[in-house]
Amino acid sequence: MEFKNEPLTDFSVAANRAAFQEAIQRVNNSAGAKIPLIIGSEKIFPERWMKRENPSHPEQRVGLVARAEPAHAERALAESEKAWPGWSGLGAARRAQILQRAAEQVRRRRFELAAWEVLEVGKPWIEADADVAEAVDFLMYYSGEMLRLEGLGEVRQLPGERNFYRRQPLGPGAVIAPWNFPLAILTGMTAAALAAGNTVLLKPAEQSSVVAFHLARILLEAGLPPGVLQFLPGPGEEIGESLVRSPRTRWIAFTGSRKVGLKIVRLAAEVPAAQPHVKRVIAEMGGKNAILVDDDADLDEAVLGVAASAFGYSGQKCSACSRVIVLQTVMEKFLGRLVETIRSLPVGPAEDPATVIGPLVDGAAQERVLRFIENGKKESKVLCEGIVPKNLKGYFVPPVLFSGVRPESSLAQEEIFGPVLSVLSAGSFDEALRIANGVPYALTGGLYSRSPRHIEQAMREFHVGNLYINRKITGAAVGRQPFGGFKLSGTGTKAGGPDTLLQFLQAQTITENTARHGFAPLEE
Amino acid sequence: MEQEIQEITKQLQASAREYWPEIQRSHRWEFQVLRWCMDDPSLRTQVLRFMDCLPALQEPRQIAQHLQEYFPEASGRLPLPLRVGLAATRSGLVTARAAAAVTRQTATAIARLFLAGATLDDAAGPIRRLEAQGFRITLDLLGEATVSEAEADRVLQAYRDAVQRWSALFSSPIHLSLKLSSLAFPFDPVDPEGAWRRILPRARPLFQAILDRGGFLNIDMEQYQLRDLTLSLTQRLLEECFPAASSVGVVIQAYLKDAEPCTRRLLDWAARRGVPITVRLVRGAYWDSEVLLARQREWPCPVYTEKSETDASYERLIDLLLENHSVVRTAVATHNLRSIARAVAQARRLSVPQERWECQMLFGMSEAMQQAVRQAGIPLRIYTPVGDLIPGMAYLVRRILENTSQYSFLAAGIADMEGKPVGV
Repeated sequence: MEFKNEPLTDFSVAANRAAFQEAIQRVNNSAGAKIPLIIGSEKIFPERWMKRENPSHPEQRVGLVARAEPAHAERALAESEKAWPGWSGLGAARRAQILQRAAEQVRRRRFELAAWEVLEVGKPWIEADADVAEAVDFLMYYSGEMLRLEGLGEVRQLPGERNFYRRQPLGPGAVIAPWNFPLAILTGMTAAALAAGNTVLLKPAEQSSVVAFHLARILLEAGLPPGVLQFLPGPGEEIGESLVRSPRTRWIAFTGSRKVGLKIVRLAAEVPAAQPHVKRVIAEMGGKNAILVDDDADLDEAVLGVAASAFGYSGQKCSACSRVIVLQTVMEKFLGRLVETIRSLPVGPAEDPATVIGPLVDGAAQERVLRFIENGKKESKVLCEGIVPKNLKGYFVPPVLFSGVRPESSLAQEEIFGPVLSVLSAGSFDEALRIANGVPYALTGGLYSRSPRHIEQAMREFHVGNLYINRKITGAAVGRQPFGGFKLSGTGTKAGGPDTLLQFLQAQTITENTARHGFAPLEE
Repeated sequence: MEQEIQEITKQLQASAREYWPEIQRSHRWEFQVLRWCMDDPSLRTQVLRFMDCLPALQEPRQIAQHLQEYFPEASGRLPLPLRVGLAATRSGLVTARAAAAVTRQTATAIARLFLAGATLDDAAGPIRRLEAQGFRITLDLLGEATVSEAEADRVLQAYRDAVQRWSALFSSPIHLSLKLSSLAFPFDPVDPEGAWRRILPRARPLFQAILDRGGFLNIDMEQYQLRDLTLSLTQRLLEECFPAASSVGVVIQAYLKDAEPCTRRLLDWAARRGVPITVRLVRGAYWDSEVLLARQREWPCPVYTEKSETDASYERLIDLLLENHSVVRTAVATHNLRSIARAVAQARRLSVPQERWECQMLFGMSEAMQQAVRQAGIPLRIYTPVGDLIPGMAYLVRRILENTSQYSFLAAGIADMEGKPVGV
């Protein structure tokens, strides 16, 4: 079956808007419940709990989330080991069936799941809807991919020997997911691992455990045997670290900050005496992404594309644009328009369909980004700063545009993960590319140009995992734009692409000598 | 009635043929470029892309460079003016400056086919000439995309200036066509209330100023995504602010698969309101982008993919609108003589009063047809865009696309005028 992306919701249809509104209402009414751990087939209500608040309205509790202890991790890993042979032996087709059944359920509950995202992580309507659609994509895409990979791999055959090349799962592992695409990335890593035949310990981000719980339940109800998927919410430095350190863990799939990612790489490299394998780490760790605006760019498109890439979901995407590098000759015209666009972006609570810029995910994120802005003001000029309406009590940060930013300054080097965009000026296209490549990250990059020569040059020299030409640099589609970066942006793997599942598999080669005293059967 | 329609079509064609040689003479080499584009679809893409980029190029050096980048091989197949420019830059015979000048001239000449002028004052000559021949005018101010509220304010100011300037330049009342998306940012169907809050304080005084001068406001239609939003905002504006105004029009696009139910809803609404409005019936100018977008988003395609389906829809809607002439005035906006003939025949059959319907055509397109329609005594309004080359380029590329596709009006026009059969 040919893979097709799940369509985004058409919000120009009044009935869709009404249904989404109603879903938010319903979710609002059921918010605040306890979210337990799931170990084996059992819901566990532990002693310690974490409050999760709505970042648009911190007074509203979205859920009370169980906090897993190290002992839970060990119990769950034991269950995972028990469940693995059965799950891996089930075969790709049966596993695909279950995953696709889950996809159907996600489709059916599309608006409800999106509404949970609106409440729990402050994602505006359109972005929340896209995130749920992408979760469906991952379930469908990876289950289909595994069917393709399960058969025997192509190796040479000669008379007198038979060669087999088979891809097998790794075993139990941990998915450590971020909150910024609370359903898509979590589902992506989980579905890839499950489709390949591994068993999964799911550690969601503290900020998005409610959404994650719904996904875990959907997968279990779709027919996953007990122990194949277990749900272990809690702080990364506690339960996350336990899972990474445990000698039973075979692999770790992580998406999140560079700091945590590198720590996982380090911890996973240690091999305690009881551990009979080397852990595999698949990590995606962020970016410092740039868009180049050439002197012949279509500015209508460039202004909107840069604004969408920089300020969509308040810049809380690893793919977000945080540097725009503009050729001097068009700087004035481009900036004039961009500044006015930024001033026109409505800041508001995520549940309001008018909102383009919602809150940051929590108070800590708000503090961190505000501190970045304060420090930035010491070395660069604020060209424009959006306005947060006074009546808003959530974790809002206004969109900020810095100009005259030096390429080596911290504004231009460090990942901010907020609605902060730095403008850098370049005298030539070569210089623009040099600046773009001059950061420790290499995740996404963009170019607005109508020069065939410059487009070709960027394709050759712009060193990023995902390069976008004459469009925004966020919103990679599963199966069309496999996603992942170079350098410190990750371990160099791609999500949503033809090679993704190989990260969750190991290949076995078997060779049989079929000759007996020089006699070998003829080739078939 | 079919026989009558064919009869009228033939008469219009015959009449148009008489005007053809003169028009061909006056735009000889511009047509040459367009025709050349028709003959070579692969280069057509390059020419369109180059044209699209050209206004953004400031320096002669840039223009020369882009010329070479866009046409590295094909210089022999290029239309003469571009070929000269390119050869000159390659051989170093002339400076980049000279090559740029030739290229710009070419583009400007093509632009002048479809744009009446860079400013309203520039366009005064062409507009007066058209009015003197008995054509009516609807004015379209071209602009860049509105990407901020500040730009929406400037667009509003440009419209208000135009309304005022029109009164100073012309004796006829202004008839203005505008896109609501130019008056607000964001203008997104996900948030109709926000769009209304932003549109109201701009559209209301503008419409009032137009009404005060006895003028007319037509709300143009854009992409399908904005269709319902545009109609509902227009209806709300009329209900809440201008319950008695009749000098206002909206657009129905016949290429939309749901054009008919949409038209029926509009007719019901107009009947309830009790004051007539005008409905401009077009085939639709966003076909390529609608098909593309639907495919990219895996959405059902909103437009007919067969031209014959659109033609049939257009004829059905002519009938539907003219049958309801007590409720709406109809503007039959088409360059298809057969469609016009159908409107003529229907209007006769239904005894539609002449003030209840007119034809509309685009400035600079099928001028022979325009003359033929005028000659036949059918009121004809010319959609007249005014604006600079940069903001005009989006409009221009759409026109050139239409004019150089195999189904194009121009292709049909040329074929027809030269006596070859025309696909209806």
